[in-house]
Amino acid sequence: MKINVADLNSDNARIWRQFVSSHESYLRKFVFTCVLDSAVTEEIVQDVFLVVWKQRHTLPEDSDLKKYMFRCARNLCWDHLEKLRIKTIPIDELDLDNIYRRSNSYLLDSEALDKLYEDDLRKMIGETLGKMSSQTREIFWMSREQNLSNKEIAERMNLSEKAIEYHISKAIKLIRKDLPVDYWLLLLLSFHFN
Amino acid sequence: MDDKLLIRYIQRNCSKQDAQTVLRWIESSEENKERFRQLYVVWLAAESETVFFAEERKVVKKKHKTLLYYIGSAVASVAAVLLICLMGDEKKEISYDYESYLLKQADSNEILLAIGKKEPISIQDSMAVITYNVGKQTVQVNNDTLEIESHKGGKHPLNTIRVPYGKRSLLSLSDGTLVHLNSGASLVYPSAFDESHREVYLEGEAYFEVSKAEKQQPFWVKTAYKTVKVTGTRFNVLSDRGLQKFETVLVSGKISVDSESGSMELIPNQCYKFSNVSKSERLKEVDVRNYISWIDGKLKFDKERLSYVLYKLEKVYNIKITLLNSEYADWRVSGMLDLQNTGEETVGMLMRILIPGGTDKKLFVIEFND
Repeated sequence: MKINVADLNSDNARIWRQFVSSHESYLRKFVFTCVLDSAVTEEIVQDVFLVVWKQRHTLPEDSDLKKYMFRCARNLCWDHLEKLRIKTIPIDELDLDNIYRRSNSYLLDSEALDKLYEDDLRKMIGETLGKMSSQTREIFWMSREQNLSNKEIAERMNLSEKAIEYHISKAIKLIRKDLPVDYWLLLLLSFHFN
Repeated sequence: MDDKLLIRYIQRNCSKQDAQTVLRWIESSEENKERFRQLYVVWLAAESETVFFAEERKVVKKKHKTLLYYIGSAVASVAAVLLICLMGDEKKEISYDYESYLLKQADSNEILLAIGKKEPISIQDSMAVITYNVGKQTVQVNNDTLEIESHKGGKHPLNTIRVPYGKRSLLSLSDGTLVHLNSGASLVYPSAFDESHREVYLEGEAYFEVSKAEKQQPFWVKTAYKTVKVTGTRFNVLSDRGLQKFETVLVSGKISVDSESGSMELIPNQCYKFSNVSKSERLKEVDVRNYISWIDGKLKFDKERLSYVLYKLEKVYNIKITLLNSEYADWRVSGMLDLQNTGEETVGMLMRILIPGGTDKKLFVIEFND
């Protein structure tokens, strides 16, 4: 049962709880990937839900809540990263996390992200994963799902780190290759296939 | 720029030196930024939450004689329930004939709530949130408030809720215990618990968040096969009459089950499984997410047989799924499905990955049970 705006308007605490628990984990993952700070992640996720709660009576009935919250999260992450003012610091003086954060802001200011939470994209990725050799798939899975480092995966699979890198890169290229052209057209630039 | 280095960067798996190099490269042109974005989006999109894959398992198994057992068991299970009630552990146990409270399956496609032996109330919504307020002697059902009759003679009336396939329910009992009921479940429970005893009867699947009672009274969940005893914990119980099996998974706290080998205590992340067909039981460590993701409207499974996943989806959506090519039934699938999509979408997604590259052939047929 999909919880929609009308459901939220009932102001029922239990329904709200269900709504939060069904969305919070992917939101948290995404926000953390962008800001790389647990405390800030919690604040932003809470703020996103707060916005939805406050807007529940004014949102159009047919709103796609997932998309709406994702947009909110994206904006809040962007605001946070801007406040850090890391773009003006010379790269040599940045610590590792800030290097990543700086490039994350480039991710946040593009249209590419809008496609992120659409089902089509993920269906296609699922299909592509099915096409891979089970070893490649397993390695990609360990890296993405279990967040293991390449070194850890190499130890578990008894392979070299280079081999792991090869498999992950192969997986990503395969996925990229399978996505239909119009996704890339959205990005307004020509794209090189390796 | 080597793609491999870029990918390591996206994984946050590289040295500071390399990271600096990559950042400089990204910022050197709009084109580079774009390439970085594309790879990053692919990486983020492939998050584990929805992506899944299937593997063929070359195991030759005897075909499960489900139908025969189902017919044969109907009579036997009623007797078993009465027996469990009569042979209770506690001395002052009140035995109920729970089976008589279960509402007939064929009655309706709506969620039904019966207070005592009165006519059941039909709840139109696809999800019912029911909260008991003992002080005010009322029960709130979504947006409506109903009155519960004040009890006479010490016994609180037993209520029954029946959740048909395709629907779900959230019940808040008089002691604050929360019960999430999955599609196809029925629960018989008193509108208010006695001082000495907290007991409910479950058929189907439910996730319990039991409140710690003031006087530490244990909470009992009875089913057709086994009984679970708890004090202030979170756990899932599944009593499936069709497949004749019982499963309970402990998330936190402590529970004990009346296993074949005596009272068995579980610790968190353990799952107890019992088959009424073979009378065999097993206790093992599990990833609880594979058992309770349904509460969040998701179905997570790990190397599960496709036929079993389809079986679960049939209950969630109240549909009948027929595989046109039965060889896929034993394939193992892993992943997580978002049950908020329609039945067709979900089954379609699941099936698409079986045939890499897609196919024009139809793999399955869905019939709606309405």
